[in-house]
Order: sequence, then C-alpha cells, then structure tokens
Amino acid sequence: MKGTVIASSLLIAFFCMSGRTAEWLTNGGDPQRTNWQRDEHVLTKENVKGLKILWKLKLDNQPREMHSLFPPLIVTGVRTSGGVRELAIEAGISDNIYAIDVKTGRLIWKRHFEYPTPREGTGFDLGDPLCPGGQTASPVIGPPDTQGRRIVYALSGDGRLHFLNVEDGEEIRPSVKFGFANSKSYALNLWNGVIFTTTSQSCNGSPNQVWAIDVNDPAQKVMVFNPRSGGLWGREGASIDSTGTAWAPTGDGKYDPENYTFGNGLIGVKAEGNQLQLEDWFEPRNWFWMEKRDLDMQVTPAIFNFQGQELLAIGSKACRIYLVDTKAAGGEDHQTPLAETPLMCNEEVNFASAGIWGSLATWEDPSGTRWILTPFWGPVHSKFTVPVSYGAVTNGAIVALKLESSGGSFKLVPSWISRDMNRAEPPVIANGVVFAYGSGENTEQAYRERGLYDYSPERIKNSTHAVLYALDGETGKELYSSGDQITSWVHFGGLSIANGRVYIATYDSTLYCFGLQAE
Amino acid sequence: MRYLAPSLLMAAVAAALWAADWPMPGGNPQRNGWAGSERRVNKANVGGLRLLYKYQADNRSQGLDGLSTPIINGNLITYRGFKEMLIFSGSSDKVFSVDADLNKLLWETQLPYAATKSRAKSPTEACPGGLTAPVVTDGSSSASLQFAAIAARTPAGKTVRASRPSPYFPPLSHSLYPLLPTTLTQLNALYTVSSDGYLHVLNSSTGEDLIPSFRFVPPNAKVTSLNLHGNVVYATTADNCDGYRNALFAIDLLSSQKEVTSFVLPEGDFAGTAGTAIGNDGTVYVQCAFAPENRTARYYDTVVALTPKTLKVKDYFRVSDKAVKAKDEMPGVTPVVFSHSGRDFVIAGGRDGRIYLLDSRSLGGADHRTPLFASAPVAESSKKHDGSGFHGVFSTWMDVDTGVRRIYVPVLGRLRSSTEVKTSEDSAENGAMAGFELRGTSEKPVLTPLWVSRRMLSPAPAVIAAGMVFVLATGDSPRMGQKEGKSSSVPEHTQVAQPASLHVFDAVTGKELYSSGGIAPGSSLSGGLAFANSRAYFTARDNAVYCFGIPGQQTQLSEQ
Repeated sequence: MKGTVIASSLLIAFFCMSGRTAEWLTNGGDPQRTNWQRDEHVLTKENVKGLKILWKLKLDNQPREMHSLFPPLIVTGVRTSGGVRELAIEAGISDNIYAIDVKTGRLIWKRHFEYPTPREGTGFDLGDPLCPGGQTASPVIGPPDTQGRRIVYALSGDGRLHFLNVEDGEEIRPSVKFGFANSKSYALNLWNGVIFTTTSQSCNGSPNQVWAIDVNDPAQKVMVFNPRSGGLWGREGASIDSTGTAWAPTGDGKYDPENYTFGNGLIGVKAEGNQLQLEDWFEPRNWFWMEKRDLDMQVTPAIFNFQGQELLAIGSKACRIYLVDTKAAGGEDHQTPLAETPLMCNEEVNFASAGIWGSLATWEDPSGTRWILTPFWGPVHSKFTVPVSYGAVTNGAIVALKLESSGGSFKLVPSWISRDMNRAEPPVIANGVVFAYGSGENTEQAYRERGLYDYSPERIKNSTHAVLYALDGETGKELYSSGDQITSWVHFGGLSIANGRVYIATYDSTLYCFGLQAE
Repeated sequence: MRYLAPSLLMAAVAAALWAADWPMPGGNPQRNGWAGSERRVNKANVGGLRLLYKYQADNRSQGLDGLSTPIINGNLITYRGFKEMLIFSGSSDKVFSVDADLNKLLWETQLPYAATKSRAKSPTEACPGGLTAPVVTDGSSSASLQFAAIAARTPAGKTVRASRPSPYFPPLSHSLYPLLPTTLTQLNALYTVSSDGYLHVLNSSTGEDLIPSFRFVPPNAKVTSLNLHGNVVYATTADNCDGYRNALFAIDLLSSQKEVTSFVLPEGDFAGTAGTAIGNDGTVYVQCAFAPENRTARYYDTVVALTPKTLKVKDYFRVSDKAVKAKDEMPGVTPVVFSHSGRDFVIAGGRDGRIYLLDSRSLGGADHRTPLFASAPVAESSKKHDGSGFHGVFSTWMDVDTGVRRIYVPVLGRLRSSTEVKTSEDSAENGAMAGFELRGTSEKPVLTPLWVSRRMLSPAPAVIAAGMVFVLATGDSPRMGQKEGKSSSVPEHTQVAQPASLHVFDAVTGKELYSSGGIAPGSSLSGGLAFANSRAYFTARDNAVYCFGIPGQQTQLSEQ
C-alpha cells in the first residue's frame, strides 16, 4: 500500500511537470461520444484500488421527477478571482449551473436561470419521469474564443441557449431561443461553432427532432431535422463524425423511407446552408419487431477510426450492437450493418429494466486493439457466450467487445463481461481502466398488479444507491468498488474523468469526487 | 446523401404496424369473426402460410375436452415487457399464457376446486367435467386502437400517461376500494370459469386472481362459452351436466352483492358454440335449441333477445311452430350481430336449414315469426343424429372498399340439393363453408349465394381477415350420437376423428388460396380459430396449440 502511494505521488509529480492536462468538455468526453479519456495519466490499473472520496459537495439544486445533476464538465486553466483553477461545471435540472474548484470541492460560482414559468401543456405531468421540465440537456464547453474565454453553452428550461463565461458564470452575450420551453432536450454537442441537441417525449408539445444552431450565425437561425417518427433520446444526444454529421438514434417509431420517416433507426444530419440535411441513415431489419416490443434504438452512438475507416457503433434495448460505416451507414439498403453482435441480454424482451441504455464507449489499447464497451441492464442472455466473466449477471453489466477485421469484413468479438452491477451505466475508459457504475436506480415502469405505471415517486422510493467500479480494460477484472460510500442513486447521469479524479453526481444533488489519497 | 434504390424500397417499406386482439371466440361480443385490422397477410402472400410453432401445454384431457379455443391480447404492457399474449384454458382447470411472438410460456395458473360438491368423476362425451369454456377478455378483433395509440408514442410509456397514484396499486384482492367501471378493462382482466363453477377474474400479467373468485354457475356444469359487456359476464351451459338445467347466467362485477341472474331453459341447449352474442346496446341474443314434442316450451328453436344483466325477455323470433325433437337434434348456430344504418341486425340459422336476417328493433315482427329475410333451405336436417346442419357461429364482415357485407356459414353434412348456393364439384359431403352476400336495402335485405368451399370435415366458424376466409376443418366427427340415438363413448367418437387442417379462401370468389393438409390431430368441434396480427391459432386433441403464419414475417422466432 505504501509503495502504491509513493508510486502515485511520483506519477502525479511527473504529470504535473509534463503540463499535459485532461479536460472533459462535453458528455462522453468528445463530440464522438467515445467516453474515452485519452489524457488520463494519474489513475492506473495498479493504483486505482486506492480510490477514495476526495470530497463531496451537496448542492442546492432541486430534483425534478427523477432528474437532478448531470455529469460534470471539467475545464482547466480557468482564471478566477482566486487564481487559475481547474473547474467542474455542474448542471442541475432546476436551471442551475455550478462551478466547483476540483481541488477543494468548493463552490466558485453559481448561475440560476430565471424566467417566467412556461406554459405547462402537453407532456408535462407531475409524477411523469419522462418530462421533468427544466434544464434537461447537459451543457458543453467550447474552445477559447478570440479573447481567450471559454464559453459554457447551456440550454435553460425556457428553451433558451445561454453563453456563460466559465470564469464567473456571467452571460457574455444575450441568450437565444433554441427550442421549446420544458421540452426534453439531450446533451448538447458542439462542432465548428454549431451546437446540436436532440429532443424526445414530445414534452410540452416539442417536436422530436435534431436541433442545431450556428453560434456565429448573426441570424441565429435554428435548424431542425425531423425524422417524422420516434423520439431522439440517446442520453448523450447526437455524436458527430469527422465531417460534422450528427448521428442520433430515433427511438421507437415507424420506418418508411419513401415517406421520409425514420423511426427506430439512426439518422445522420449535417448543417449545410443554414439547414439540417439528412446525410444518411441506418435501420435495423427487425425495426417492426423492435417497435412492437418497445425496444427503441435509443443509445447515443460512439464514433471512432479503425484502420483508416470511420466507424460507428450503436445499440438498443434489444441488446445488440451494430457496427456501421459513417460513409455508408447500413450499405446499399441502409439495413446491412458491417457487423452485429448476438443478443447479449434482454432475453425477456422487456422495454424497461433491460437492454442497453444511455451510450457506449470505445478505446484503443496500446497494442492497437479497438475495444467497444456497452453497459446493459438486467440479466445476461442465456445464449450469450463470452470467454471471461465474473459470476452471475442478473442486474446489469459491462460487456467488452474487440473489433476484428479481415478482408473487408468485420467482427465484434465478445471478450469479457464484468461482474454484476445494479443497472450498469455507460462506462468511461481512462489509461486502460474501465470506470463503470451501477446507478442503483429503480427502473421499473410496469408492475405485476398494475401494468404500466411509470411514476416518479414510486421509482424514487424503490431506488437504492450507486456503486462506482474500476475494471481492468483488457480483462474486466474488478480493481475497485466504492461499495456503499455513495448514498444516493443516479438517473440520467454519468461519469466524468480528468487528471486523476472521477466524478459522479447523484439524485440528492451531491457531487462526488473520487481520487487517490496521495493527492 | 445516398438514396435508396427503388427496388429496395419495396422491401424496406413495411406494412403499417397493428396489434390486434382476439379477445374471445368470434373475436368480439357480437361474434362476427372478423379480424378487421389485418394488413400483412394478404391474398398474394397467404400461400406462404406455414406452421410457425406448436405449443405443447401441460394439460390432461377430460372426455373430448382438452384445450379451449385460444384468445389473443395483441399488446399488453406487463412488468415483463410488451407482450402479445396467446391465452387459453385447459380441462385440468388451468389457464395458460404464452408469448405469441416467441412461443414461450409466460405463466400457467392452476385454478382451485372450491365447491363443496365433489368433482365429476367419469367424463362422458357430453359432460367431460373440468374447465370447458374459453377464457375471454374485453375488446374486439375489429379494434386496433389500443396498440396504435401506444405505438405512436415515444419512447416507453409516453402516450399512456402516468396517472395519479391508483387505489389499485396494491393487489385488487386486498384493496378496500370499490371496483370502478373502467378498472378491469384497463387492467386487461381475463375471465374464466373453473370446474367448480367459480368465476375467476385474472390478472393478465400474472394469471393470479385480481379479485376473489365467486360462485357463478353450478359445479361440474359444462360451460360452453363466456361473453362480456360493460363489466357483466355471461355464461351458457349445455348438456344438463351433473343434473343441472342448462341456463344462461349473468353477473355484474360492479354489483356489491355479486348476484347471479339466469335464464333457464326448460329443456334443450343454446344453439351453437358461442352461446351468446351481444348487441351494441348490450342486448343479449341466444338461440334456444329444441324442446320435446310433448312438453310446452315457449322458446324452442327461437332467437331470444334478453335484457342486459337481468336477462328478461325483450323480444323473440320463432323459426317454426314445429318443435324440434331431441332425436332429430341439429347442432345449430349462435346468432351473430352486425350494425348497419345505426342499428343492430341479427343473423341466425334455423334448424330448418334456412338463414334468417332479423331487425333488432323487432326480431320477428308483431307475430314473432316474420324475419326481414329468410333464405331458401341451405343445410340438410340432421337425421339419425348424423349432426347435419348449421354449426358453430356464422361470420360476417363488411368490405370497407365496396361497402358490401358478406356472411359465411359453416355447414356440417350435405347442403340441400335445392339450395341456390353455387356448389363446387367437391363440396359438402362432410361439411363445407358457404359464402353469401347481403344485398337490397336495410328494410328489404336479400342474401345472395356466393360460393361453397370444397369438402371439409366439420369446419369450425370462419375467420375473415384481409378479404380472405380462414377455416379450420376440425376433423371431428359431426355425429351427435349413434344412429339409434344412444350417445357415443369418447373412444367411439375419437376413433372416427381425422386430422385437422387449415384452409384459406378468397372471401369473394371462394377460390382456395391455401391448404395446410392434415397437420394436427383432430380439433374439437366445439373449438375454432383465433386470428390476430398475421397469425392463426387453434388447439388440437394432443393438448397443443398450433400457430400458423408466414415465416418471413416472423423473424423474431429465429432471432431470439
């Protein structure tokens, strides 16, 4: 133990001297939503077992339905009145943005968006976890502007896009209208000055579609593309490829391309000439079955390069991963993926508490092996075989797949499955370590005695607490577990990692920061 | 952007999504046999029908009885996910629910025997004992709104709005709250009568009792069919089993005392396999079978309209003044109801072999003997208990493209040689399906013969879907007794049974579009087809459910 601490201290010292700092500026860590922290140098497979809670901060954000805090964004080199700091920018559902000094866990500034109470219309109902109202989209931080300022782009509950100075939370320009009030917008993404979001649930009458706005457009035109069916509820919003095409899953709906209808699939749209144009799409062949059983294509895809080709991985509640080429998604008929896995879970074919939820993760190890990781909820499929496993999986797990190719064909090869996790959520890979968590959230939407009954108070009452895990990225072996240190649960949250710290925010509006004691 | 090649569009554009129900025999309380929302199976592809799967149930046959005619709940949101449920009962007092898409058992319920009177010991051909009637649930085969509404929302649970905390969140059986008019319907409750005569209201997600069961019909009665309208459950019994007179029973589930009302037959049975048909105003229609010649029985071979719940006679239509003798017994049909011009019409089949059209406003006119229309004799009369005549239930649909209504009539034995029906060369030796078209006006309707199918052994009531007529040839013997009138034993009956087969005909021309050939052990003559969401189901004597569909449309069976 003593040796580990010394080694960690030396690593930190080296890291500090090298001047390379990591940031986490958007959900998923990058516009491609890889959930791969490439610049982590502090946490290692060897020292991660020494993770402790460095600090936790209870914020005054009020949960709405099951939503509370979103994954924090981590930005470094921020000039504040107290000096240059590394900040966690934490967004809360009740229209709050907090800036926290990650070294001390102290609040630096807070911004609360004030606006007249929006009309509460269609899709807004007390007790409905699907339409909580308020700020539902995780913000995004842009690169320094011409004055060197970092801007936090945040979408408030009244549907206005705000431009906050990360240094003090002040608005550096007037907000612009970017959607319906109390809609259900998902994590913002940023590409060459264009902000993207997606919407679902038709909350407050908002259409379910991709939204974009060029922040440099004087006209501030809001661009949209509507797939005409489904709801775009990938947790991390849209992923953006190297051409600027934003890819988003469309959720349960109908597929009728002749009539420009793309439910239960994946669409790629691009901002061209102040309009969002459909670039391409992919549709699972069994979309009809998926719609019938409410198995939604609803996972934010992960985009990555592999042997000179830009590929995209996506999954659904059906619990299968598809691999497609971003240059020709689904081939000639849009329904032929490059590769797909067998069903990994959800043998029951359930619409809740089973299948893949949220997003994926992908990384490349030092040997050049490309890994794709997926979380899932519920029991593993009885026919899913994987060479390495760690006991029975009944509540959820992480599955790691290796991508292999030969002669132009691709294979997603199951490599390991993690230990059981209570509702495994999207992992983050940092320095060969897979950080994952079981949310502890009660995900039931239907009951033996009642049928469908997706009611927040019931779910809140039955939720437990989250557990953070660290796994060996190549074997899935458990290296760390937070046990019962986290006392609340997580809904629509996520992990953020940078510079030896792992962040997770819980329903009770507490932000936890894990790190090594030596620091 | 890449565009889809036109040729690929044909494959890519799937048919609209529907999730229809088949909640009871005949598809609905009116018993019209019409699967109104079918879109994916059509005349062009129906030739590709195949046996998709067979579900072998853990049930022990009693007498000739095994599994009941199945029903389908097209989309039920359960704690285990969205399920299309194939539900049926077994003679061993069991109810089964199978995932109809995947052929996987969801639950199996063993109902208790709670009566003080002991179980029937020796099953006979007529009185098998055990659970005899198909399970029913609320709904209609012609309505697909339930799933259409759900499918329109995104994602899970959107349109079906979470409501305020429900008093029924605890088990209903433990709840202090009274039942609301909509509660059981909202919960997709299932209704079944166990062999002890108790009515069970089951949770469709689990098979457990939603509310405590209660006595409804005499123990060991042979319940032929249940029907449901506005939280009132109806049951008919047959064959005077265990010494009880045959009767129609009704119970209002919302009543505090759960008082059972009845309409008791002095003699004879209710005609047909479906017992009752219920009009859109809740009127209950039955056809009483026969009465001994030497006794006075007001309603023999008579269509009777009864008030909802109370079962008081509102009206009746007497087919004939002549009593039908037991020795000349004919199977008969349950009336079927359809709506036209804002009112209900009743189609009935007489033991004289004629088809009758009745106006619900006055079934038989002032003299109770004057129908709107009477056909020429179509079916032969039963002789020496050979079972000839109409059987089961008629089926009817309206072609929404042309507005033409058509009627399909299962006939056992020969058709009348004098009939106007156009017969095919091979028709009617052992039974056939005959099609008719309704013409004229609502005041003066006329039934015009369309076609007669090829010969089929004991056809069950037809199901109409997408302009086609699906018919199960049960393979059962139509004979209702030995020539001298003595009842057949169970072995004697089963020895002459033949394999069941499924047939599909063009509803307009009668052209046969599909025939499975003999594919299952014989089915019960009291059984029939269920049809929903491009699949047809029937049960056979081997205690199995057979499911037919087009394999290319059912890829989930191979992908799971």
